[in-house]
Amino acid sequence: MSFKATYFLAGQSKIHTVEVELTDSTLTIKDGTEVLNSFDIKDCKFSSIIAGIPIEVALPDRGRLEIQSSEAILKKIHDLNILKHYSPYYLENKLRYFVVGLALTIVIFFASFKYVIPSMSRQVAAIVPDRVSQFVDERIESQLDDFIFDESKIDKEVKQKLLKYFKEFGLDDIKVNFRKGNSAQANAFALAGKSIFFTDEIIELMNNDKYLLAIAYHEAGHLKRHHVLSTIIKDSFIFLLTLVYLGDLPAAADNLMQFGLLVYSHDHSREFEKEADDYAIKELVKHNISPKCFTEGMNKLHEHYEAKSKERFKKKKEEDKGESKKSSKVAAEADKKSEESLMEKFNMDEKLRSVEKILTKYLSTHPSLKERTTDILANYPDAKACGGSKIITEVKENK
Amino acid sequence: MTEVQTVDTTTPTIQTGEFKFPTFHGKGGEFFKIWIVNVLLTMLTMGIYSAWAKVRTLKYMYGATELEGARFGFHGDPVAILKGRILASIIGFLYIAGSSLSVFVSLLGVALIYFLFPFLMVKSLKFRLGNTSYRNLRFAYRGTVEGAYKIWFKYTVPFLAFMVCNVFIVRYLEGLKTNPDQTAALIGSGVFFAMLIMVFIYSLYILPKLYNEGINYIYNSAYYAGNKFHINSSLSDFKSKVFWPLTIKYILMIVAFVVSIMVLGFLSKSGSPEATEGAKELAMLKVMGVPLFLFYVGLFCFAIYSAYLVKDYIWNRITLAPNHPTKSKLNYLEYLKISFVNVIGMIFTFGFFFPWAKMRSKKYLVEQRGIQIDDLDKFASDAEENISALGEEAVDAFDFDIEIGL
Repeated sequence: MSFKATYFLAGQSKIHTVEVELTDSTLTIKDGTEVLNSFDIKDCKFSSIIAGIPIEVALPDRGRLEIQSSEAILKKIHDLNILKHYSPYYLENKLRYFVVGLALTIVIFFASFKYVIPSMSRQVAAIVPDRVSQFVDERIESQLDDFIFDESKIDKEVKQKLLKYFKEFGLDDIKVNFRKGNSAQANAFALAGKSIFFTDEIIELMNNDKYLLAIAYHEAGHLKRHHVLSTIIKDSFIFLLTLVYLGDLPAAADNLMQFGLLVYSHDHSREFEKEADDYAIKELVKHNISPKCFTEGMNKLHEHYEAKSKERFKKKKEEDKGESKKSSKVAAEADKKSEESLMEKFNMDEKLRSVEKILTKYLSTHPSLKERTTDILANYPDAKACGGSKIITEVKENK
Repeated sequence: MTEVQTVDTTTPTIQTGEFKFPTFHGKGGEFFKIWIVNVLLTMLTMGIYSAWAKVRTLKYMYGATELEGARFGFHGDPVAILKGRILASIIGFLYIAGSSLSVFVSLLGVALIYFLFPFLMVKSLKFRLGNTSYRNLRFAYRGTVEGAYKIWFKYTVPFLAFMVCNVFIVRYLEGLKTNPDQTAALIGSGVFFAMLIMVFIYSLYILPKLYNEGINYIYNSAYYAGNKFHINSSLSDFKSKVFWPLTIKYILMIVAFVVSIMVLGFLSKSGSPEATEGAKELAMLKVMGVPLFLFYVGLFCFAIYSAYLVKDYIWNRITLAPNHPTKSKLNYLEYLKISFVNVIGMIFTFGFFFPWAKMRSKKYLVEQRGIQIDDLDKFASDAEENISALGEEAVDAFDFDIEIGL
């Protein structure tokens, strides 16, 4: 059987249109009936087969053939068994292989993002030596101190008592730090190694020491499960994977993907929050403290932020009123509006934000409070109210 | 060996002075299959296959490009690409992990890229061109690593020195800012702003020089079958045709963005004082949203414009020795239209349109850039003497995936 081909002599660019004949042992180049050249087929190097592209043959005398791709030539090459690698071509062009391959690609792609990367990151994070995580903590701490925090204004004695209290309840292997939160407001969080932070604002806000203990357990949960380190490692893995898979994506697609990764990343962050919640509850129960101390503490924090938001709203409204008073009659009428209707408006605004809320469900790092408390209370239906009060942190106010 | 009779039916009669433009035969459907299998095997092999995937993609792209009856060919060794990718991964990991761990480690990553860049660039060019063939004759890159470092350091070292000085001055001034003395703080901010402007002006001075010498070094060291390519690009030419049009458009775009935000912001403020908090937030979103969207569209058009301008500039200035000039018929609006449809297609198919998008833009870019050659057969046979005289060094050492838009 012969095939049409383009033939180049060694080191020459002139095109010769020829016919190529393939037998079990030889490759013969013919121009009509005249034999131009003949080679042992084992000495000829066939290029890998790609659909739509001519098959290149490097000849032993440095000449080259470009054979037009066709079913017949592909079958012949296959029968002669002269190519080492067929697999990509068959995966690409046999319908059933391709469909299976496509399905597998999609499944693996999602599975690796959903399960493989997170679990690998956790495993790596668990074996990272302590001094590395301590080093990470020092770096983050110094950056937070530079940009956000100020030195804590809470009384030293209060802090020491609080530390002692935490220790009594098993939190003896973590480093608890206190800072003035400023823009971080009433908050508590964990770093990568053994450090957790409380802002002065949250200590002042919590009217029950047990709330603070529950929050400390939650943050300790983040530490025990290596959440921060896993996130750092996971981000590095994802960077590498996307570099490898989609290295040459154009910029626009790249931006889209970044958005996808953001949603993905926050999904895991929410999972981490739930884990830390679970840890906190278990520890509370272990120390004979009601799980409600955690939910009540969280509610307290939530109410605080709600109130702050309302306060800001009212303040803004008053400012606006003040401005408009000077300028228009309409504003004077607006001035008469009662507090109630103001609050109504606030609630309307909340509704207006519903679209934003759907977005934030996927973009926020924490699950909603309702979700969290319902989950917890469902497991402990008989849990009693937290009880207890502000004892330790009260000292400060007495002074 | 028997003398071969020419049966030259594929090549039409060539007249002197005629420009030949390639034909691109790549099809989205074909490339889709290649792409999916590449992704699958890459995932199954934890990234190792990506090097083979790259070779297969390049073989497809080159093999689909036809000029005067013959296809281009790519013959690179995937192992060389794998080595490059391992190095890229290490640097990437250093940078990403480093940026969370310590400024020092991530600076180390940046320094590595800075010091390795000319080396990687030259090695990649040697790999890419040395493994490209047309009509059984190879291209080659004969620029040296030393030459590349000379240009790189000549322009970047003064710039870095200038930047470092600025950093120290700014640090000193920041100290002044916290000074209770208001005058000192004011002078501090003033000088800080002046420094920023100086860095900007200095970049305008140094960047065109670096780019122009860079493209000269790249294209003047490229060969086909022993025949040298030459680019006719002077600094003033580059500045007037590429650098200033791009810089001015970029600045105008940013100014337009800032002004539109300010104007819209002013208009929305003078609106109803009755607006509620939420409505105001929505209004704010509208104020920012429209200009921001337009800014992104602008950025996209700008990216396409700069790619078009650079390609068009270069391809209207290259000559293949002795006298074969190249020509670009690229049209910005046409290229923008293709790219725009590509992005829309990608968005609506969650990225699955990628292979078609790639083929569409490739087809346009390949087919609009041609070369004036009277007789391709004679040209190449003349060149054969040159290639054997000069000899070629090993090109398969390394590839770092640096695209230079050849």
